[in-house]
Amino acid sequence: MNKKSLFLLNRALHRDIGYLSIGFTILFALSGLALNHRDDWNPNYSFVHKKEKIQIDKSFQDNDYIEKAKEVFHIQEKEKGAFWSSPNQLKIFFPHDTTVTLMKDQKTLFYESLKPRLFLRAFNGLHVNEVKSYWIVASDIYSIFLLYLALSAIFMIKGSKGIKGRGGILALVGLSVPLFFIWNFF
Amino acid sequence: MKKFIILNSLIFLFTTAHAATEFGKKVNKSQLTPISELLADAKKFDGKEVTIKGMVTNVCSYRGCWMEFASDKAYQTLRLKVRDGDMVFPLSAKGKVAYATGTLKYKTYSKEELIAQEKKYAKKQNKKADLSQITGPKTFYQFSPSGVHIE
Repeated sequence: MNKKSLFLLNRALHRDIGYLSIGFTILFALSGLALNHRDDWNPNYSFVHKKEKIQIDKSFQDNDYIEKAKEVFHIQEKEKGAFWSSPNQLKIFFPHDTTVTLMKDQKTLFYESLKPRLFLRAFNGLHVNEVKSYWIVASDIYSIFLLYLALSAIFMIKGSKGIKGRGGILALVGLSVPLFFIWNFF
Repeated sequence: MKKFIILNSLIFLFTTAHAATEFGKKVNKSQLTPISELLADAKKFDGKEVTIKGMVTNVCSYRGCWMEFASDKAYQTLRLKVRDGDMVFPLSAKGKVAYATGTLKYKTYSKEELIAQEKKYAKKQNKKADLSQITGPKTFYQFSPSGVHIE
């Protein structure tokens, strides 16, 4: 195979592997952004919080608190379970990821309901490899694709915009960012 | 072709979002050890594999890497912790009864160590350290499961 054929083959492979990588790249990029900022928000779930003051009768038993919680927050379903985590705090668990917490001293019920974020919950799960199994193989292949895309990019264009000109400078700028952090933090 | 791609994507999303109920190795439910018994005499169970049962009272909402089991004793809980990604516990487990087979880990920290930790934590959180609760050494318990089953 001569030089020109190799050049053309590299361009064709770069193009097609690029197309194959679109889905993976969107998934990893979006979930990467979401997970990067998990100190600021929960990337997997959205929460609804409410609180209501209630009147507490001294004769109240567990079931009275549960009924009160259902009445106050209009919950129709039967509770999954309830647990006193301290003499002051009762947690009542309902279906659909809903928890009502009673704080006796504050005479307050705290409602929390959560919903998995559409797409992001699944994207994040794949990003951190919750699935394991064949996903490991698929994401390994994607990593190899990325390596190929990075290395083949060096040979994509000849001349002043290629690796010996502007391309080289941009590649060095890109390389210097992780190098800066490696140098300063490790 | 378009229909195939859409169908594939939907199957993919639904299967990945589905909450699992079995994690790791199979749980041995034949011999259960009450959590209260385990915590009352941790040395006796050192390195021994046991199975515990309890209602799930809390789950890590970020990575699903820990859960808390309610003990058979009032106001007592035990935290199950796995390495990030080894098992991912679903938030929907809260309020359900679960079983876990594994070993109990525990470590006792001196008063000085606890103070240092509290100060470090407070600094990280940009808060004032609350040292009033630290009166002496304290032992922390954690369960390392090799298998979990959520009912």
